[in-house]
Amino acid sequence: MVREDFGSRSVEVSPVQRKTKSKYSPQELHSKPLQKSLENLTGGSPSAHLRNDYFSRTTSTPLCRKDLADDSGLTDSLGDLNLSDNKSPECSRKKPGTLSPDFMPKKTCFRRQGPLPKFCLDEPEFTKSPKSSPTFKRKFEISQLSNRSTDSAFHDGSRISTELYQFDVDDDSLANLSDLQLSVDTFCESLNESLGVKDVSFLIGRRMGVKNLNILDELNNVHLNHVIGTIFSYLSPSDLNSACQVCPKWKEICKQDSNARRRRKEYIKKTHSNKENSFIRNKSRKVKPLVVLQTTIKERKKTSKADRKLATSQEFWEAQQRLKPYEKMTKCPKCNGPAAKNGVYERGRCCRSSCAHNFCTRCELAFHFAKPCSNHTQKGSKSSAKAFSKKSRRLLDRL
Amino acid sequence: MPSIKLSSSDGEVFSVEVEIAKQSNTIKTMLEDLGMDEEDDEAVPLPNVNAAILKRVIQWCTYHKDDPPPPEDDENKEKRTDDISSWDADFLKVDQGTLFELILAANYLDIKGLLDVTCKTVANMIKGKSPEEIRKTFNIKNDFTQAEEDQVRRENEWCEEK
Repeated sequence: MVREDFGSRSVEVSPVQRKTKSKYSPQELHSKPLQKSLENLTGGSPSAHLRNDYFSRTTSTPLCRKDLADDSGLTDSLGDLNLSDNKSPECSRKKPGTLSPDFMPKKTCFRRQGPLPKFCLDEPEFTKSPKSSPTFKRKFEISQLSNRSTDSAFHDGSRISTELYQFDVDDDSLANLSDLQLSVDTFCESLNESLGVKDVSFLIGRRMGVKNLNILDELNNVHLNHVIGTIFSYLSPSDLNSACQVCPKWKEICKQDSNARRRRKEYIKKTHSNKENSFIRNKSRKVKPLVVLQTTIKERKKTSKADRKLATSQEFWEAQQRLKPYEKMTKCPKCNGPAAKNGVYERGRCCRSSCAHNFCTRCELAFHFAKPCSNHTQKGSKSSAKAFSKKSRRLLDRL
Repeated sequence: MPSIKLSSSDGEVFSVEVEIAKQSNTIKTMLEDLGMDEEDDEAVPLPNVNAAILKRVIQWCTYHKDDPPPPEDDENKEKRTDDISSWDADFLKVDQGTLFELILAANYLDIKGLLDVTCKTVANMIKGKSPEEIRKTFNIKNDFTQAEEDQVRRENEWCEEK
């Protein structure tokens, strides 16, 4: 029996997927009298939206309108949830524990806005029903217990208890137990969460006794990435690689951790190059018809040249935007990238972080502070090759 | 020995020596910030932790109360996982649910030693196993789609020893 105190929260019921035996049609449930009665009941505008997706299955008695209207209590019996998995006496273990009202933050009970997480029970989990297996019924009932007074209602906290209706013990069933517990846990969790009682999900110690647990996934769910990082740091690259092949989620988790990702990539690269056949493989890839090769190279050259030009102009333009008012644009003598020139000190600084050349704008050599430029390297001396010099001769030869 | 009281989420109160409780940085910081009052009989609330797990954590802390502080580890280097003491190994011979909760509790209470040893245990569960074996260990379904599986295979085409 899951008991939930709604306090004086107003509840909007949208019986989206309500099935079959519903006493009231969705329209009826959604009708104004109900809402009104809810509002009267709570004395406020709806702040908590109770979306009823999670009630959708096996609802025999939906929210009793009468109960709501006559102020006697909000009772939603989820009916008998037929969990057709096997079970054992351990099942009767209290699921999420009983929350004492002391630590229930008032806010979380009350302020719950926006769309609620949609809860879907794992369909196959509950429907696979080997006829021989003993069935076990669990009744979830949500009922309003609390007194109506608006003040005290928030302080009530919530009480959750699980009641087992009937079960038979089967020796083979133990294997499926953890699965079942987990699904019931998640169900209770989502129920609580959607009702605005968030605390259960933060409770440490709920999953004690679960035999198999996807620990990494669970850690990821609670955003303990540093813990995952620590675990990965204990693994060798090859272990990381096999962890990535376990399931898509683990792969995602591995990719999120930068350290693990880097180590795994290095490992793959290393193993590739260490293989005897990697050389042959690489070579065989390159063998292509000559014509194809020529055309592709030509095209590549063309595009790459244009691209490069575009990229450089883009780079210059961006550097221009970042210039300080006393600076001017110039070209870096070392890498031909954009550089900022300070007119007063005759000092230039390359804007490319990879180069970051610091140079004198006059002689284009490394910046030499107040010292005068050495004469022979003065600007312009480069281009004016003297007559009869080697350079001018070479230029002549070319003509 | 001065002691403090810790109260779990379900209201159970544990009386613990301060030195033991101080292995948890969370409690240590709290005591330092709020000051220790000898006469104060009020229990420290730990609303996130239930009694069962808190009991185990206290058990671990009691055993390790004389341990030197763990050395600062450097990143990048692959660390050893075979240096778990035999007591710890016995202590951590638990189901995976409890192990997970111990990690959460160690993280919440900020007990580095416990967090390290639990992480090592998880790492040991993964170490040296094939993907299929890992799946078996944690009872994970292989829900790679065919396309994804192909991609994974292509990625590892040259990794597997054949």
